[in-house]
Amino acid sequence: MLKRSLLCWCALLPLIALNLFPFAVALDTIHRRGSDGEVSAFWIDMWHRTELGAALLNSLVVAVSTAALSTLVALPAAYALSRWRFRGRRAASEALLGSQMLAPIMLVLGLSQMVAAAGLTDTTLALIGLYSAFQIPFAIWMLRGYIDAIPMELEEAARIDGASRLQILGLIVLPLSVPAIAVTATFAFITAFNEFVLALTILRSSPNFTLPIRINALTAGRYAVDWPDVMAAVLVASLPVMISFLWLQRYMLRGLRLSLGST
Amino acid sequence: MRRGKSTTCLPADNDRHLRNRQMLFLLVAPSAAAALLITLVPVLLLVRMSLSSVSRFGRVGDYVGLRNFTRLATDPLLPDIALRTVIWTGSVVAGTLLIALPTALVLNRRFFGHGLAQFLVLAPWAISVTSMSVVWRRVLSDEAGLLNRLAMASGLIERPIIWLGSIPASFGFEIMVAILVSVPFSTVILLAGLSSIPTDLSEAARLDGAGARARLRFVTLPLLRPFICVVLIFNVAYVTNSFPIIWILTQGGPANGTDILVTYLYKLAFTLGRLDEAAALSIVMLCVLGALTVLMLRMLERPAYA
Repeated sequence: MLKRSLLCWCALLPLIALNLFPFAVALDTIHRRGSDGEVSAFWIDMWHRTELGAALLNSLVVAVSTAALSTLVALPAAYALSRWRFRGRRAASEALLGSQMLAPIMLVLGLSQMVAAAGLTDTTLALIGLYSAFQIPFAIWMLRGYIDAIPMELEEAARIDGASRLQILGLIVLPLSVPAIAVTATFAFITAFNEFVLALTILRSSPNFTLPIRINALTAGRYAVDWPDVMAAVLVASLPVMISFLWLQRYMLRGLRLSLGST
Repeated sequence: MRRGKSTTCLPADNDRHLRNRQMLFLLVAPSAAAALLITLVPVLLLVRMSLSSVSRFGRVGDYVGLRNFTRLATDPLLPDIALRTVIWTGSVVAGTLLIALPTALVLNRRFFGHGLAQFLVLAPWAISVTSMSVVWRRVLSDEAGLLNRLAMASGLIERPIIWLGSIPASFGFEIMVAILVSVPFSTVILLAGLSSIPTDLSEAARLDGAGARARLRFVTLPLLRPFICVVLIFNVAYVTNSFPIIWILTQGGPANGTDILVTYLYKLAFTLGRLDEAAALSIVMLCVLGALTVLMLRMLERPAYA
């Protein structure tokens, strides 16, 4: 066992080293900033100089709303796909997987015109709507796998006991899908928190920027980039997602296994 | 409902049947509406723009027929960019699979510190591609940076190099960053696939005298095939459309030398203001992508033993 563990770690080491390299660079850059002042002073100044607070708030609002909205809309559809037999069901399943090919960047020009026509340019509301809509197919796909795994017999037993359709949904299906809902929402949260192209196109004014756009703005098209600030901002931006990822990791494998199994 | 046959219901069931269909409609309608809103509407807008002349501020003018498409066809930059996109997608997807598959095989075993190792392998997934690219831009453009210091200390280079100065080096590093970004997700899918393979199968093969290599080749890999297909589909889609890495590292430069289709598309639309041509390019790309998707879904449908 010891020998095997060592072998496994050695095999993974190059990849892990490459994965940790960006963090090393970030810390190294902050460390080499020219030792003026204290560490805490640097972080406080950085926070103000980079307007990170507003961006963090925007990102959190957008990501949480997207997670809630996309999961809420996807859940009934996933239930229908799992439990109903209807014509076009197979086509719908294929469309779900196929829609993963359709990236926002291909449609970005049309989408930005659409947003402009709706008068929503430069609002986080537009981002919430678009992110949710793009997240829905994946959310349905994830949730359906979980719901497929809930035994039909439970629902049938409830029906025999006289429960209505809504009662079955509320008292049996919903409580049993809570972990699935949480995983799906976390996926949506991470995706929305990190999205770049749509935010870059739709957001114009600095107070509305989300974190990725803020970080990009700190580096792009500037002669003198304040790299220690940028690296500190990168670390701050990674924190919320890292935390949600730690949690997600525990449930993710089982969920993906179920979802992939049903395709 | 699962076992009810919708085609042969009795008259008494008709009412229930109808209510069922209404319920189904209510459940699916919001998702379907959202999907239509973000696909059909932008596609129609794109079609209209691609057939008109559009000012750089987005005002749609006269109908010009296929002029924008013929302009695209004569764009001297486009063939190179299309070819580079194929190279980009091919090498990133291949590289990702070549790294993710062994990684998943290792992570599927039990060993000390398994949880930590898995976290360290998968963690980059959580970090935004934007942050990752910004950090790598720093690494590759900084003369006194960590990479140059490490390379000099190990004697690989004699003086610091600004890596983003040359096209091949930039593009090579962009491919590497893209692979690093794609590996975690692919590993997770493959890991999910591996853990769904019953252990008694490989156990039975072992009792029949199959060595580790034979078990991998004749038991594990064939059963993993659908998962590998899913990894390919997702990756081809993500990588072809991957924008932030190239945009942040080089903006497609120097001299369009690292542009792929999506960065060129963005440049046409939002830097150069040639919105009509950009719309035409979007339409062409959507058609190619559609064909590719159908092709890959067929591939997924083929039975596992084929």
